[in-house]
Amino acid sequence: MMGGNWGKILKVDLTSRSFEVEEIPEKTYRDFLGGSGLAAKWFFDHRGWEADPLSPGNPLIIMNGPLSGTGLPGVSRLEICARSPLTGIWGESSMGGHFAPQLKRTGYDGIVVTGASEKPVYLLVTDGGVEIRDASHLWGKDTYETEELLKDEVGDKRAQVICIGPAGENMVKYANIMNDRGSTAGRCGMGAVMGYKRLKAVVARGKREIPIADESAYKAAREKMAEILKFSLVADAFRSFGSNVHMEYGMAIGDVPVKNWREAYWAEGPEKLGGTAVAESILKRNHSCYACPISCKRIVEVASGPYAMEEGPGSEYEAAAALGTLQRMDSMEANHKANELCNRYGMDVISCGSTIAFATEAFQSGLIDESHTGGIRLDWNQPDVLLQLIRMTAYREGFGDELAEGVRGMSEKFGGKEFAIHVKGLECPMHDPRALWGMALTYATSIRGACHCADSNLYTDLGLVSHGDLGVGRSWPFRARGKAAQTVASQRKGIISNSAVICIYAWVSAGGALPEMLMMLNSVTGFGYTRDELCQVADRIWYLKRAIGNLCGATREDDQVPRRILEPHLEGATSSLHLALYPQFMSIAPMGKLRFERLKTAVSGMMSRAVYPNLNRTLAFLNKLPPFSLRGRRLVDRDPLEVRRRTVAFEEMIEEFYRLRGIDERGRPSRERLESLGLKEVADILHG
Amino acid sequence: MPTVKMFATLRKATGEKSYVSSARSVAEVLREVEEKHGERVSPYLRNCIVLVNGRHIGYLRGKRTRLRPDDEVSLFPPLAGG
Repeated sequence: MMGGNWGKILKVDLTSRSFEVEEIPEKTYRDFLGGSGLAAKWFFDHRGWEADPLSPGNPLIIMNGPLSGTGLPGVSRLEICARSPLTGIWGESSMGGHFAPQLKRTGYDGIVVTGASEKPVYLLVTDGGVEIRDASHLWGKDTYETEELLKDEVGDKRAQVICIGPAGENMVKYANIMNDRGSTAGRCGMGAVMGYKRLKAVVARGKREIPIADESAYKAAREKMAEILKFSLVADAFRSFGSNVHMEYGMAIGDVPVKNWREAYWAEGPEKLGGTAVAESILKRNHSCYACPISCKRIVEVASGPYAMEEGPGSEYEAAAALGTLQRMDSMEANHKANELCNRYGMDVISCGSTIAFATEAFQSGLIDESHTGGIRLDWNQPDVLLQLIRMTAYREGFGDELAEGVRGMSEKFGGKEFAIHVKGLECPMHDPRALWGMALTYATSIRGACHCADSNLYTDLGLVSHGDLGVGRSWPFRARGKAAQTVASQRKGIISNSAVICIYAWVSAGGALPEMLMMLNSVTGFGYTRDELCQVADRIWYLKRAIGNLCGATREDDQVPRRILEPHLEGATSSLHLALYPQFMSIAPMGKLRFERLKTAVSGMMSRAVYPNLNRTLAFLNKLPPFSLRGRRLVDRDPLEVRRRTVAFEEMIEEFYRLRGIDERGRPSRERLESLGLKEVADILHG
Repeated sequence: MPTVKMFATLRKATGEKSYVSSARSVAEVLREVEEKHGERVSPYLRNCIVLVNGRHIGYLRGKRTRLRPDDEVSLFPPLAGG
């Protein structure tokens, strides 16, 4: 028996106000797992790429994975996918919170919404039936209000709501979808797709027991994961300070972008905006997604002052950086207010902050002036202007209408492409490839554009996740050698987590190794995956998504990372930041049996698969370590040789990546590679 | 005298943000912190990242790195973010 899934998805056509149930064969689940993998398969089978992002034909796919909603730790998540209005290519966005388990218990693995309604509507899905209801009274309400009103309206406080705010209604290109006030499907403008369809919200309430294939193995997996997370130092850090715990160390190693990626190091930033500073001032309590023992979310309150905000979700790392350091803004209160506004209006904090930072630099460099902005002067560290621009963007008022188009849209209109920091139209998240070179490949080769969640490179370069279990050794954080192989291994893990679906924080806190994932997946699904088979599933999904990207028009030229974030910084302490980062593998567990078991497994796996067979290469690699003379040298007058030496060797890394992945000169996966993974129909369409 | 700064969960476990140390090497700093705060900080110290003046001790002499009076030692426990 297949566990973890129901074998059916709900299809809703908003144009005809009809719905039907589609049965999915078990083989499809086995081959594409669930989550964004299954969503990509559905999208491909129904030729989703043929529809414009903002057209009735673009399907909005809300998809659970086999782990979603079970009692395992970190399985609160689902994926929301469609062709992105921001990038024009495949868009996917992962959401935590509490919606996934409710949807799972209705008896559907996912919902596909096509068509568009004339009037605002919301969808009510329960295990008793499906209704399309009028939402005219909700149109214009923010996401916090909408969620409360809908729970009252359906008369069940345990019902869960995903909804859009004014930004989605106004089709801001990076509008998001919200649940539980602080949980978002943030990226790629999925909220704009909902807004186009005039779908204000989806409400789910289910009571069915989720089928589990092997109850005793599932119970054992749950206990083992709970034990690992209980002793994990990384989980402890998340629990104590949230994801924003990264700010201080991130700044020390040059990973946190400052002033639209111009400045290298801003010592005061973490002191004002970091997770520790928040814990010592405005933090009220922790908050967690469904079934999560980590509870990394922060509930904060700013009691008084110009940026007062009621008790509610506070900034996570990406918001603290995008709406803080990226603007070089040092007000913690304003940062949290900006985050709250983005949540309420329903806008992605990364894209919103990046677009405002781009506009500020464009204003400073004279590409934009007060005639464009309606008299507003844009400068760094202007909290009031930041809040004003967020409001204007959500409602597309005045200059906000330009900001609503995102960095790529603005740079095409006003110029400034050299400091437009995006890949494929998706604004880069707040991790600097100059600190962690793996992030350059991550951004370039992530299917949806610049994304830090598509793989585990961030955590691998930080020394938290090893790929010894996949036969791949670690490479130095700021060296090209080995990065392509690391990225492929890392993508496999990222895809598994986005298809299973499980929170990347929970998995990373547990070491990010495949044995734990296999234990969880096999106990729930009963598929009996082996390591190799699961890797094949991950590859199948990656190639399918890459092909969808190609069919949407993406080529090799789109796999480019802006030079600004590959070359040394223009301002600040430009040298020696990389010397804060050393390839030290950090144990996630503090002590005892658990630690040594994990260490033993990791070391023996790495030795047998990576080190011994490549001993000669390893020795050669050791000779390439940074020479002693580099220590402490500064970039004086941007000496060209020094700049070249310190520039991310992107071309070398990506050529090796293409070779490993079998990508042709047009950026397409080769026919042979596709066919070897059982994707013949994809090869036929892609290669003609 | 070198200044020792502690971050994240290490700061939480010790209750100290920074202090002026009399240690002459990184190893002595780690021993000093452990002696001062007891076993509850040991797991963090065993796995922590140590920077001296912003540089990882892996590029210096590891725990044997000698400290000068104006040095700044930063101790980070294992952490991730995103």
